[in-house]
Amino acid sequence: MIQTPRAAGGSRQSNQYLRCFLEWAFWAVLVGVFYQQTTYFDKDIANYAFGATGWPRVVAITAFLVATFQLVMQIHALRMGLAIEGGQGRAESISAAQWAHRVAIFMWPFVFLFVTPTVGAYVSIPIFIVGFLLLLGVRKPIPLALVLVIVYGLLLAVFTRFFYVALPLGEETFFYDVNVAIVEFVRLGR
Amino acid sequence: MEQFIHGTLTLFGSGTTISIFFLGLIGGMLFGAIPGVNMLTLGAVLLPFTASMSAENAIMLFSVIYCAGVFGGAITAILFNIPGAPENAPTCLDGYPMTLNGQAGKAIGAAVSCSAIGGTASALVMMLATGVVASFAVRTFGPPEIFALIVFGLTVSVSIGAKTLWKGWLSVLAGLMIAAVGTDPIGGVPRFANGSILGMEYHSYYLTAGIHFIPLILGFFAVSEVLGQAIAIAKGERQRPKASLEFPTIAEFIALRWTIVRSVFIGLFSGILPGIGATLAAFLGYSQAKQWSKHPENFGKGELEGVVAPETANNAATGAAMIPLLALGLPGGALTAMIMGIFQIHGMEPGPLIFITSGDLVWVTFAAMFWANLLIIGLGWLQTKTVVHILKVPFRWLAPGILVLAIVGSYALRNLFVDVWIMFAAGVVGYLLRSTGYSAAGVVLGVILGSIGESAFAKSMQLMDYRIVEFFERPVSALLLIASVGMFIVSVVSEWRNGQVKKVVPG
Repeated sequence: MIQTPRAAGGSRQSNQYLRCFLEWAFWAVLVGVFYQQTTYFDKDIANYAFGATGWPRVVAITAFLVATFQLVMQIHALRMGLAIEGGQGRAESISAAQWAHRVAIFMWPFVFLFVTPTVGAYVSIPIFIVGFLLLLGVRKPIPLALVLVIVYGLLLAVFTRFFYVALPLGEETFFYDVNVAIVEFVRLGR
Repeated sequence: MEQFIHGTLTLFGSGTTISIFFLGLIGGMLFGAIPGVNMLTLGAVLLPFTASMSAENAIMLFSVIYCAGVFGGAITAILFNIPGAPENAPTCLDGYPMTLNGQAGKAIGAAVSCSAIGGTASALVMMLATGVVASFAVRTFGPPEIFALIVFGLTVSVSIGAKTLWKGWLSVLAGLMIAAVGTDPIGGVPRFANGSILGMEYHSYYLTAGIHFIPLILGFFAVSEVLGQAIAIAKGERQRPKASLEFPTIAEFIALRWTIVRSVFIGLFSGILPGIGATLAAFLGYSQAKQWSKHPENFGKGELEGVVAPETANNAATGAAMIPLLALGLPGGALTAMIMGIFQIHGMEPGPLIFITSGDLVWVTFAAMFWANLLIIGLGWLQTKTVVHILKVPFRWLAPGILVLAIVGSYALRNLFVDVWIMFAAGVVGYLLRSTGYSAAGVVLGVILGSIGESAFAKSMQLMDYRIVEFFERPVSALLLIASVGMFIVSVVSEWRNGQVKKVVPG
């Protein structure tokens, strides 16, 4: 079905209304949950009348008021036929593979976070580096190896040998042993 | 003058002292310029070694690290949109767009020069008026005035980096909400550490200690920048910034003279107040530069003034922060707290008597800070000429290194892996904030000032017996609060008139 310009304009404006309400709803839910959580520490404090909840609750209520005022201003702007800031996001048509690529860029760090306590940082960091390079489109083996060696080498030299930042060594016995072996080699040379 | 010359001669009169001076200067600049670590990392590493140094050398070393580290953080802010320290966060707002516009050299050159100007001016004030300024600040600024100053600072800085005033306020309020997590500053009650959401109970020792701002800053700036660039690469839209070595001209500095002078005063004023320090100075310097600028619409797009103002102000705060430390024993931030620790390690107590009992120490420190700020010009320009070439390396090769440094930096803070989770979560949130017009800088400002503000408010209430009207009976707090209300009204009216809305272009 071909959309007329007027229909397209109407659809764009209703999208903008929806966007404003969703933004407000996000803040309302966030503030609501924040406020509700203050009930778990609603205790009196000696010598301070407002207690532990006074400040966070005032901040939460203020945030709700500002979000509501923002909504009112945005609706006023839309009714006056004006565009709201950040409200003209253009729709992009992208393939499923492109979507998957973008999701992978965001998810890869969380995969790293999830596995590191188990396999240890000295094993997971090189895999993380190579994985991120591949996600960024680096395919040639020489740059892949070079970046890995430089970044991992600097990490070991500066933060393990010199400063000794005690990164997680892993919970699984095999990985723990590998991590310890790497640390011992870097720090003690054996 | 005689004491300054004596301090300078002592500083440069021994090979050991000179070596320690340059160790602090170069170490501070390097650590400030490496994403993921900062001057506090260097300070923490070196602190145990100060026990074997003389008190003069140890205090001098940390004072020089302080000056150099605050400058060093500007480099990563400008080149990669990653502030080396919270006080460099506003520098990102125009410094990074300048890099994208092929003006990295100009931005770093301006940061170098203005850091030196701000730092030198504050070192001079420190030498001339430590005793007078410190006693004035302490007599005049009690908790109500500090609370009023924070309100003022938030009011004038709230729209930094945000598309609209309301988004700016919501960003700051989100920061204040994050700052409320952790132990309450008056009664020590743990907040948001236990509870239940949708029937799922949670209990976290980590949240009892609060959410630290370093992982948040690394997430909001470093991780979100890398994610943003990675998405731009995936879309095929990323353009590599040009590495330029075009430095600012004398004429450009002369044109910005009032911005520099204003920022020096803002830095001095903020630095003197314990706990406020360089971060608020940088935000205030930036917001005031924008407010007084003939072209405020250019801010955020690569305006030189937007680099000059925060970098002058944050370095001007370094010398000023030493004033309450030396004269009254009140540290204004983490590094000055380490200096306080050095005093204790050496069995000394800072305070008014220190000028009599340890005159040599005080004047070597003053001289070291003065010369460090002057030397930043030479070393900083040398560093600029080398560091700018990093931009020639493809970003896709640099990105994993930046992330690994950020991972180590956030983990090393407290040896807690949950800080790395917080950092990556903040990275995703930071990416969303940028794409929806909210301000990551505003959230950071809220987080940093939140706990100081709450503590100052609570102490004020106890002090004033809950009479809120007393805020308006004290001249300084009244002035600041009235100015805040005035600023708020002006910003709302201005937003209403021309800020928030734009005409829809037909078609």
